[in-house]
Amino acid sequence: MIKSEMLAYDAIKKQLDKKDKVGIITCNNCARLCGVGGPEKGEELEAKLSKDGYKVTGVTDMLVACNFEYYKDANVSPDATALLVLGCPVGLKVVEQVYKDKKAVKCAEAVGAFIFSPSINRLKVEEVFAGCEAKKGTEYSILTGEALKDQKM
Amino acid sequence: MIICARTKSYDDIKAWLTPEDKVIVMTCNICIKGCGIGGRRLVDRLAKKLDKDGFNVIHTEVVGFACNKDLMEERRDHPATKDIFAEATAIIPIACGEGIHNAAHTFEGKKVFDGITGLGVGSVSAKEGPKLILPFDPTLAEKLELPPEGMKLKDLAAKLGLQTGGF
Repeated sequence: MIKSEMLAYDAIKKQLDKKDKVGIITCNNCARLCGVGGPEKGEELEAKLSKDGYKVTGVTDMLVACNFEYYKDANVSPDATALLVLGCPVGLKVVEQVYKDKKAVKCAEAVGAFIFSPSINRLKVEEVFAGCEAKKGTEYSILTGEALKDQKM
Repeated sequence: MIICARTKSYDDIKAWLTPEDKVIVMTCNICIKGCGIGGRRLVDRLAKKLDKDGFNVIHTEVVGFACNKDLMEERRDHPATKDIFAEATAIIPIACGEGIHNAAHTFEGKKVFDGITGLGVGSVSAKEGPKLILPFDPTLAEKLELPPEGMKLKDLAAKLGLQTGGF
């Protein structure tokens, strides 16, 4: 599983134009466990953007954002001009390639790979990308992505 | 998903095992299946090959997510499987690095075969199969001249001297 972390809301907004019609695509696999994807995060972002005056066309839940096959039946509004990807950077790459007429907007950075334990609601980063070495071994809460100070895994 | 390739061959498994070993072959059913290395069909095939070569395969197991510690520990502790896992002396996990590490930790004291490496993160499609987009090792992108849309697993494995497909 891939650990990703959400960019700050302002960093996401900076990539948008007020004229954009915004679609939100959420990954429901690794990214959801990390507190980046899933319907809850999609709806949370939709509410924030709507409050800030952006036109949001809808939230699309993808089972796995890195699998091209799932996009064949994806209910993404053809009116959307920008697609926010609540998934890892690979999900973003796939969206860029599937929706070439739309702007794909990065919402998360990849940290590394993790193992997880739903019974104790934790995930642990085991392998990291360059620049994220300090996060190796860190444990996080599942679904929220909150970094934890202690280690149980 | 994590893009994986094999660092070892079937002959390496044979050399690693002894005729006395009681072997369990287990597979993750997510990324490693998407990479064409694991999954039920390939694990059954590996078990049959080992059996034919005289090794004692006592069980095969599919674990939905090998990176899920709970699922791995459930196999170790559940009344339906705990005796067979206790009896095993050698475990062959067909999984990414995290899954193999998880198996080694869960089945401490047993031999755990380490023959697969996770190269990074990538995509999958019916047309092109698995593709590496974001390698864990940043020097790999340069070494492979990795295009932004990624590189097919079979191509990068050939460049790196790794193997693809089932054991």
